[in-house]
Amino acid sequence: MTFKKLINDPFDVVDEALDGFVYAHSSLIALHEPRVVVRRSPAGSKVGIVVGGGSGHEPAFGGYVGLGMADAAACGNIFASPPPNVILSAIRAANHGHGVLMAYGNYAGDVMNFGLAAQLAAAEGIEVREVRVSDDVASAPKGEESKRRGIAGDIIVFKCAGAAAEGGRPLAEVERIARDANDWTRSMGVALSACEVPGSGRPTFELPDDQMEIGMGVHGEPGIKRGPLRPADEVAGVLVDTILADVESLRGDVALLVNGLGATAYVDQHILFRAARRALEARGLNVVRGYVGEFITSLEMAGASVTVTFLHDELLALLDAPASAPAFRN
Amino acid sequence: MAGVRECALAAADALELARDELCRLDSPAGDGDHGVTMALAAHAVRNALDAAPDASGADLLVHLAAAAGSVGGASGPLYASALLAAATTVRQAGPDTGTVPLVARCAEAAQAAIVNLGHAKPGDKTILDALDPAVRSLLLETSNTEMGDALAQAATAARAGAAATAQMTAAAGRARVLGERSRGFADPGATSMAIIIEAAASAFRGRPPRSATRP
Repeated sequence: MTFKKLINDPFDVVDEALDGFVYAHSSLIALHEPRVVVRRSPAGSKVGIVVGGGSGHEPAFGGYVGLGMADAAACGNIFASPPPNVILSAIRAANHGHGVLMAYGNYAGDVMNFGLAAQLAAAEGIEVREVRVSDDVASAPKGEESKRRGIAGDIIVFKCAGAAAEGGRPLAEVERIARDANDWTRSMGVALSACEVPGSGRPTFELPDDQMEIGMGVHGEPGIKRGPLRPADEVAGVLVDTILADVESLRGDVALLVNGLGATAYVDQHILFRAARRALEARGLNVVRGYVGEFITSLEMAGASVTVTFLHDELLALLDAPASAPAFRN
Repeated sequence: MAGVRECALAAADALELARDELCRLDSPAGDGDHGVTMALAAHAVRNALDAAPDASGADLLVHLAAAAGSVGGASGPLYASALLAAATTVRQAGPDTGTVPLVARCAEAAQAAIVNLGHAKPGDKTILDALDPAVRSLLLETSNTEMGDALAQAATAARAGAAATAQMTAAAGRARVLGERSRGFADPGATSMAIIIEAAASAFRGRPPRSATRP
């Protein structure tokens, strides 16, 4: 299978895409330096929020910089964590003297690079806390939650942490809230076809035309079950059941987010949302907030993920707080 | 005699040649970008060598660490911290440069840095499965051994270690989530480490790096 890409030199993909993204949203964001996206109008006195990760997940991560969300995003190469110096620049840009919370997906490379950046920032006297998003139930079994990777649950954690910071909460509180949002958020995805890292010359995985893979990660990391493509209702049922089986005591109200991976039609995403909503309600849960769209993609991968956040009053209020970022507005 | 600069250039050449092979190895278990990441690192290494034409030894190792780290991902910080540890070892050695025991101590320090940062151990199907046998091979050499011979022995050990990862189950890194299904494919990180050590050995013997193997 060959992939048709509308690009120039594969080595320029990340910087050209970031340039375009910032031009397209220039009323909200700006490039602080080549790989660091910041708010067009920096926030005043508050805890700073830094998000980030590899590129290829657009609109993540620059799309979550803005009022009520992050102050800065550090962007890496395709599917590769940004290096410490880029993250350090993002931390400095986000620091308003009240400390900085970094929220990022739990991947080996990100953990090392963000961790090194936090040490560099600490040496400059900036207080930094980090929360690793780990919502993907397919990536490690129950009991090993700290090994799970972060996928679309990123957006819920960024939103809640961003709202808490915008509301003037201190660093320890913002960190607690980000952890709480992560603890109450579970996701699982399904992949229908692969993507190609520009310059690699090959798809990231092989998946026959009539097959789907349940639980595949946003970089094409293999999932937990491969089988024939099934109707949306059935796929939603499997995803919702796996997510619910992972939670001890189910609360009544949930937020439901369906994330398209890049090449799955909005029509399909909404059919999956409908199916997931019905599956949740059939199991006694109330879907009180819904989000559908491409929040964190995987280049041109086809597929989608379902994210469920089990809500309590504080999380719901934070989700509903105002936000004005390129990829999330309230 | 070849030094850090020649070895780094040879490694950059070899990694660029191996880009497709490394991407192929990274696809079954990871995210398919390892070859691209290492090619970007090679590009950064060339820039660093050009930007510091007079640097050598420990100073050059520090420049190379910054170049390797600039690509991010998992490989960037691991190589950066390994090269910084090697630079520190060279500095502490003072006038004792270019001997096989010093290179062995550098490799040992580099390995310790990778373990410290990545929390993996030999057998976890990572970069360490190529580096660990190479370090053990170098530590067995005496100061009478020719550098080219010592590195060639280490490269053979590294390549065998990388090949053996095909029979391992990933216990760390991104391939970890694959568990048993990671068997059957050599680890891309271990493979690129073997390629780098082979390139260093070739540089000392005045030979071009091996060409990339084709699937």
